[in-house]
Amino acid sequence: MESQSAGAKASMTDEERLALCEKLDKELDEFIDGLEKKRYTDGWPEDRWEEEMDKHPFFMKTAPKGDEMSPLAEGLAKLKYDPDENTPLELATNYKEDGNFNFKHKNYRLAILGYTEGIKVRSDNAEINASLYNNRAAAHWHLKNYRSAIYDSEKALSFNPDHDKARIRAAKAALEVAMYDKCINHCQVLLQKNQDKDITDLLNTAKKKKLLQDRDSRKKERSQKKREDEKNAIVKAIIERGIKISNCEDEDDIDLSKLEPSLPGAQDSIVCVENGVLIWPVLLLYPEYQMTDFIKGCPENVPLINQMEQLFPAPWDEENKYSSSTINVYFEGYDKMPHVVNPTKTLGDLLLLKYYELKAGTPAFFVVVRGSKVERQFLESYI
Amino acid sequence: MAKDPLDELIDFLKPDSRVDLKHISLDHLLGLSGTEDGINIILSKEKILQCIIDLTNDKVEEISKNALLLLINVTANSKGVLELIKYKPEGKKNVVGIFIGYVLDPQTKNADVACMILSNITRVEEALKISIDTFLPHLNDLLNVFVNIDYNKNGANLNYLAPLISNLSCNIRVRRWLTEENPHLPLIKLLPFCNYSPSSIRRGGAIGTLRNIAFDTSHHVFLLSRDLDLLTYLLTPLMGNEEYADEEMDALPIALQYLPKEKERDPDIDIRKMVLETLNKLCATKQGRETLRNNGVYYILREYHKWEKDAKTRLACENVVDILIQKEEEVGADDLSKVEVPADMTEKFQNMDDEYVNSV
Repeated sequence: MESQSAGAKASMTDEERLALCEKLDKELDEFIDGLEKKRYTDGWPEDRWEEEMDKHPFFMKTAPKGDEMSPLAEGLAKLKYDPDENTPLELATNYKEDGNFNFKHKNYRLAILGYTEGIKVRSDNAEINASLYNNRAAAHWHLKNYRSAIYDSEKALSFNPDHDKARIRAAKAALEVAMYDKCINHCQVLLQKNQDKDITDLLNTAKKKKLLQDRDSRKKERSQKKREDEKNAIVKAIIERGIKISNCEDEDDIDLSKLEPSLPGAQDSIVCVENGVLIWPVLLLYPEYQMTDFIKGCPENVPLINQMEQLFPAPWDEENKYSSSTINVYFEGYDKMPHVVNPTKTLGDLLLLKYYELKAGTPAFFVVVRGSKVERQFLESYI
Repeated sequence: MAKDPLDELIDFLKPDSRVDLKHISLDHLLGLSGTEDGINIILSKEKILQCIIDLTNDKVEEISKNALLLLINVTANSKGVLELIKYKPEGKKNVVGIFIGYVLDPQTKNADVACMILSNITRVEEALKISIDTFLPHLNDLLNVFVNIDYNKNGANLNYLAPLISNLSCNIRVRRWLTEENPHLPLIKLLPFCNYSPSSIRRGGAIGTLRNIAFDTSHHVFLLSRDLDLLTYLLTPLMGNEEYADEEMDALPIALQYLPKEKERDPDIDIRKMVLETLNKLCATKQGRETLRNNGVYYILREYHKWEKDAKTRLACENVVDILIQKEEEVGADDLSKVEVPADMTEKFQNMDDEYVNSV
């Protein structure tokens, strides 16, 4: 049986705290300095920002001469995007072209802006809307924004259910984000029209992954259920025995959280059940030397003295006074008074003694040498 | 000489006869058809059967229904089947086409009864041989109708198409259709029905079909192919919510891992028997044995054996387990179905089986 001695915790002085803060600050600085240094290159260069600004279609003060501009730039020059000068369809088409230009040059974010403007026009023409959403979906796909790609592809399909490219993209993107049912549905619609090998492969992949996904969720559910059942078994056993738990009004109040050991490092020693026998973590306190012993798992059907015998002679017991025949064992009852116990009784019996109340799920007992001064002081401290 | 009462009956059964006469005559015949003797009487005059067949198309629902019920009883008797299949209605080779027509009609209430008749007919080997050509062109239609749960709009569930397909699968050409047709393999449409909880008839027919196909070792490569995932469907009726150790669980087909608490084994003992027979057949080839071993079939049967109470079924289970436990070298033959068992040994084994079953 394992046991460990817990030392007394020293508290920090103010100086120590300050020193610790400084140390942490210094470490943080060192860490940041250690990071790879990269310049912010995306923006305009600092020294030439006015120059760059003049080139940008939104901010140019005069029309540029000569070289190619993005259609938006051109349009601004030609009032291409003036809603008064264009029908919604023309407007939407123009925005689409702008988007396409940027797409071709792999400026996917700019392309998305263009398509979005086109969508905002809300033209009545289903074809242009399908096209805008489809193209925006493609741009999202390249940026790996799979959920947006799915959303836009399906919007495109709402305008044109036969848009196979959009459907294929929706299926592929769905696979990427593990939306297997969606992928399977789209694949099946596609296969109805035309037996494509790639789509069949995609479908089979999605089906296999779905099988795995389902299996994994069943597995998780099963282990959760198991833990639930174990918890309930423990609580049931405790209620059956009639052990009094502190902070519990009645039987329904008892749950595992109230039985968590509060000692640091003891959480995984919480009470458990093995073959119908409760196994408790036990704390032994020695007032004389301010020492404690922690027993990780003490079965309820074993006399307490058996466990204690394994601890003696204790390393801190300089005068070798502590042995099973020389000690008295006490617990502190809910009446705030010490009560002596007979350690030859089993732990289970001791927990049922009058005045006994279980705190923090950890039975605790005080151990002193019978008839010693320490014992007298211990008992007097309660008066 | 008094007119033979049967001849009088025939008069009443003519299509243009008075409705109440038809009704009473059919009722009478229906009563007769409950016994073997009665059936023999009915079969004694060809004309009676012919009239009944014609009446299955009668406009009055009650009459057509009773005519069909009569034929179910007639076809439950193998002599009746053979007589029925001889009859050639106008322009057709045999009556099967008529019944297929009823099955494929989404509006008729008589579709279920027609299914049962076809199922009865095909159970008799001779009749199956005679009628197979009539069935072949309609196989895809029949399967599609079967798969579409809501096909019939008038309350027929068409469950008995399952045993029909199972009977048909005794024929090599049907088996080929099931396992080879492009682009969609018919068998794949049938597999999910192995676990169709609302109808044990459907489950039985689906599993029966698998068993029949498994009898023919030439189909084993196909049956055991990864993509078909046969074992997932075949083993489900034998599995409940029992616990398996982690390593054992990992061996099982993925869809069978960590089954939920509510899962129960198939309540129908005949279905469980058929599954075991199918597994037994699959053990005939080396590939079959290895596939079954690799998929943890042994673990499933081990747990199943603890649960099964019927002695004969446990014996069937043990037969499969015995083969699976052996290492390949011990099995001694690549294709067990081709091993010849001497006649005296067969009898000896049969006696051993009986002793075991009676002792348990």
